[in-house]
Amino acid sequence: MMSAAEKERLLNDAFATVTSTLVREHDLIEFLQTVVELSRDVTGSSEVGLLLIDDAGRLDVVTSTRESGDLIETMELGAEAGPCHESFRTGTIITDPDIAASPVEWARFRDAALGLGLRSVVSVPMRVGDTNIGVLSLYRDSVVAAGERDLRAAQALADIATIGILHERQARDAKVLEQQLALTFNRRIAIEQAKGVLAQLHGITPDAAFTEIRLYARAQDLTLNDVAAGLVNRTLSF
Amino acid sequence: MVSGSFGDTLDLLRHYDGDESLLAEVITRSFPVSGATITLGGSLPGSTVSATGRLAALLDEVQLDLGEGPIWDALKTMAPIIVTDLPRGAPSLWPAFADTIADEELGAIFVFPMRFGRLLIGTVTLYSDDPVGLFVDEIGQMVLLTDMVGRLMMRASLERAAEGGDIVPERFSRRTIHQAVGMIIVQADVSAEDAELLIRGHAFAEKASMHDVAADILKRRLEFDPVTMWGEDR
Repeated sequence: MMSAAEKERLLNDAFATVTSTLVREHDLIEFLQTVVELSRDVTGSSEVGLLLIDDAGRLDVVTSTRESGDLIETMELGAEAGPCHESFRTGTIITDPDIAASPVEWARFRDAALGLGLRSVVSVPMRVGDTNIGVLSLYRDSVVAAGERDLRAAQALADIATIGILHERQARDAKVLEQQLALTFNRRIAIEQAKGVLAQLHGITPDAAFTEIRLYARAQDLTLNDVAAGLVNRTLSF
Repeated sequence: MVSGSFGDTLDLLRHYDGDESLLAEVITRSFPVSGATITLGGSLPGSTVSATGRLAALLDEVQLDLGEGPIWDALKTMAPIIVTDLPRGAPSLWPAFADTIADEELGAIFVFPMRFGRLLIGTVTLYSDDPVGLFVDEIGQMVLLTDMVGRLMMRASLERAAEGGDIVPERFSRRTIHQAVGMIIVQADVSAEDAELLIRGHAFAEKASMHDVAADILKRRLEFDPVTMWGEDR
């Protein structure tokens, strides 16, 4: 059994690790993997899984402490009818200190978990305002009621995972927007350059070149942008 | 000369739907400066959108041509660049820029990065004939104002792009430079990036602007040789 001081130190280290992963340019899956592993170590759990809601509204296991089919299936059963589903639905922490004594509607989850030697579980919601985006589930191999400290640590880790996900989504949105903008504005530049290319090739003015580019695009059923790009990178000539 | 309150300027910008090329003048009203420019950059193609006068336009053009100067530093660091004594500070910071503007009457320059959401889209520059500083609250005001200008610029740029035209007003357009780049692609048998470098290098060596070099190329008075990679008068 870990001492309280040792747990405290582990938790502090965990926060330092996840926050530094967060501020660096990171891979989201790698970051979430770090979160589940730290959650396991900090709370003394056997297995931890992180589930996120997908576009179809289903909870999927995104990362877990072990890449085992049985474990992932157990977690997904818990997401259909079990503590994980309940935590997601209510946005609250759900504890099941004795999986063997779970409600009968959780039978499939119960049997699968017991089959893997998992005896108790805590499911922590990942919340953004009033919306839940996923659940962090921590399993133990003993019948035990989670202490206040472990629950708080688990919620804090779930919150960090949530921040990481939002951070990545925002960065991705900004990147997509940036690429679209660059495309929109650079097209104009490519068309001007293409006028120059054709003006040089045919010994005509840029304005006359533009007329030829338009006629060629129409005749070949190509977009102006495609013709311009081809002329500029010299893969097209007419 | 300060001729208007900051609140008035903010109000004006909040409801501004006029010509964006006049915005630089609006900005100067509440600050003790001689002129201003608004420049696209970052996620948008580098170009002047608005300048209060000849010197303002020149300040921008020199930096766009050289790829050096406070505008580029503001874009790179995403932080305001404040130079209160330009003749003393510029030579060590930006040697080519300092050299090109050495004969101009310039005391101080302040460049603020312009953002739209998370996108970096350009800069707003204030300059003064005399060495002056900005108070901390004035820097804060400029940051706020630059933000509003950023929104206006984004809207104007997208509208212009949607109309299929150049995204900046005609008199600041770098269209002829792009056309000249196209001609050099063929003449020197190089990529668009290299063609632009050739024009930039030639302009720097001849102490001319890229616009002037482009004009000579378009009039076929200047041709680049594929072997020497150098422009020869014809």
